[in-house]
Amino acid sequence: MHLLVIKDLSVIFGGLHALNDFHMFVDDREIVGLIGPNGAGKTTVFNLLTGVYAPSGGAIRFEGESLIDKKPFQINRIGIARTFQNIRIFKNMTVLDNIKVAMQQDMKYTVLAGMTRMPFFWSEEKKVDAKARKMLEIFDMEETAEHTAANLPYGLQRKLEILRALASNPKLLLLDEPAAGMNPTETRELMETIRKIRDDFKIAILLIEHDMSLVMNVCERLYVLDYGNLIALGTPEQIRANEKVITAYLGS
Amino acid sequence: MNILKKKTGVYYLINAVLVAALFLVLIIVINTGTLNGYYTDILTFALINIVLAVSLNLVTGILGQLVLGHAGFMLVGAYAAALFTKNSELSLTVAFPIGLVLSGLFAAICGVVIGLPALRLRGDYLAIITLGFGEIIRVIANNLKITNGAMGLRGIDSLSNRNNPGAMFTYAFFIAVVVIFLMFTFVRSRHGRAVISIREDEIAAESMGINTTYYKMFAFVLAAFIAGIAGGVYAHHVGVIDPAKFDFNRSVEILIMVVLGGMGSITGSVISASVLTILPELLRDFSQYRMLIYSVILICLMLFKPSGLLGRYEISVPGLLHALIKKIKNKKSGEV
Ligand SMILES: Nc1ncnc2c1ncn2[C@@H]1O[C@H](COP(=O)(O)OP(=O)(O)OP(=O)(O)O)[C@@H](O)[C@H]1O
Ligand SMILES: [Mg+2]
Repeated sequence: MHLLVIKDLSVIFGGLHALNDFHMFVDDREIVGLIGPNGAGKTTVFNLLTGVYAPSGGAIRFEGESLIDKKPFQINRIGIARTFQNIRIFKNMTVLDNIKVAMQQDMKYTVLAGMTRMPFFWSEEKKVDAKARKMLEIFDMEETAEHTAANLPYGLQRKLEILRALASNPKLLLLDEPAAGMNPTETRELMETIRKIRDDFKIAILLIEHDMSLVMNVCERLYVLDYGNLIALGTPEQIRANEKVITAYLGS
Repeated sequence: MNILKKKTGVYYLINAVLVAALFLVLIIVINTGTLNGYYTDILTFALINIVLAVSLNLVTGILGQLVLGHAGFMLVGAYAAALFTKNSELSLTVAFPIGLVLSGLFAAICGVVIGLPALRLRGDYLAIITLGFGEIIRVIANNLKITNGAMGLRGIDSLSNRNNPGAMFTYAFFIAVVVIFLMFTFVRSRHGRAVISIREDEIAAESMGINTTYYKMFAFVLAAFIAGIAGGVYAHHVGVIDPAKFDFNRSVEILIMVVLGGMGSITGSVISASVLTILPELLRDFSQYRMLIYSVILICLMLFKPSGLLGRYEISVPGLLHALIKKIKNKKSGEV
């Protein structure tokens, strides 16, 4: 059974068919790319997957369970975490607290136990604190733990957002243009880290990228969207040779 | 501030000692008559306003949702406690705390009823619906028989008397201390982090597994509960209540305390609530200009320090001591 299956997914925004009968699947521990020109509907797929938008039709199944009509927080708890194209970190919180928000489910103490500082509160908070600091090591960000997130440079904010998503224990990680605004060296390093994250955390990753060449070497399979339509799917080699894709990207 | 530092225990201890010392000093000057009844009253009002401001700060500063009818919860609490103690056969020392619990519960129920429709949605519906609530609840109190209409309730007994002039003060003081303490610990717990994350970015919080509706409701209902209790203490402190005391201006007064102190700063609320209660009383002659002075202060603040007195920062005596010690140490190592 596939980890994620999308069938005939469509959404219409006031007459605009942002997505038409889209279908895709993602398997365990796969890195899959979703590419396409500006406005193709890539982010819309993420928003539908995570329950931010409701589809006009179609089905989404994750480990066999339907995600339609589920709220974003429920979908996260089922095992899908995401980052956003326009960074949405918690700006006035520390780097560490940003990550701890996502680790909410790792703690069980009640409101009253927290307010009255029961021993249970301390032990759980300590455990989560250590775990959150450990996560920062992935991007060598230990030093920034107590910094206010808003003060991080842009690239680190993107990385923090990835860590935050990872901290919520997903089985599938959705990354929306994680390399946006990074230079070629940073981008190459990021792609390496993404592969490492997949191996270490044993999760599947669905990656949106604008730049085709970039996803080619990190993704095992690709889906190509154009004007809300799925125009091609396959391995990077197949996509590279696909006429429709070339036209979509270069114009006819 | 990192709550998991080893010094946390010491901080708690220092704060506890300071609070106990402050209480002892105040209760002694009150009981010996050094501080006369008039000033004791003002002090008690200041404490009530602290509780109101801190509770409003939970929703407006920490959760990030505007509330324009906080006085409405105070009204519900005031009437609930007063009606209970007036009609109860129990002695006041027993009836009063029970009345306060009822104050909180009734106000919290109102919070649930008006919070559910407003907080299920993303966006700023709470401001409008609480504005409506504040007005409606006042109209209701103005027209019901049990609340005695516009005349209000009179002869609500106070715990304070000649033999024990500090009784109401003591109640208000400990309620304020407990509320402030619980607010601090709440903000620095997993639940508090969830509430703050909603203020920071609701969509991101939701996508990280935070049940935003639940936490918005929780913060709002808790604030209503606390405001209700403040109302109950207030009713027994003044002895006379009528709906006009809990109008829109009262809600705005509390809001100003929060904005002035710094949205999200609990110590900021404590300071500004104290100053804004005590100062006008000391400048009694100017009291008719109070709203004018308020607006001028607010405008100046918005111009020069839009985030309020303390912004989102908290000040604490142990924190200040810590900074001082650090400074001295640095100086010493610099000399070597
Ligand atoms: N909430 C919305 N309301 C109306 N139209 C929308 C909404 N969200 C997206 N769209 C439209 O749907 C289309 C697809 O948008 P989407 O953001 O998914 O594109 P994208 O592939 O992510 O593009 P980009 O590479 O620029 O990020 C666009 O035309 C966009 O304007
Ligand atoms: Mg996009």
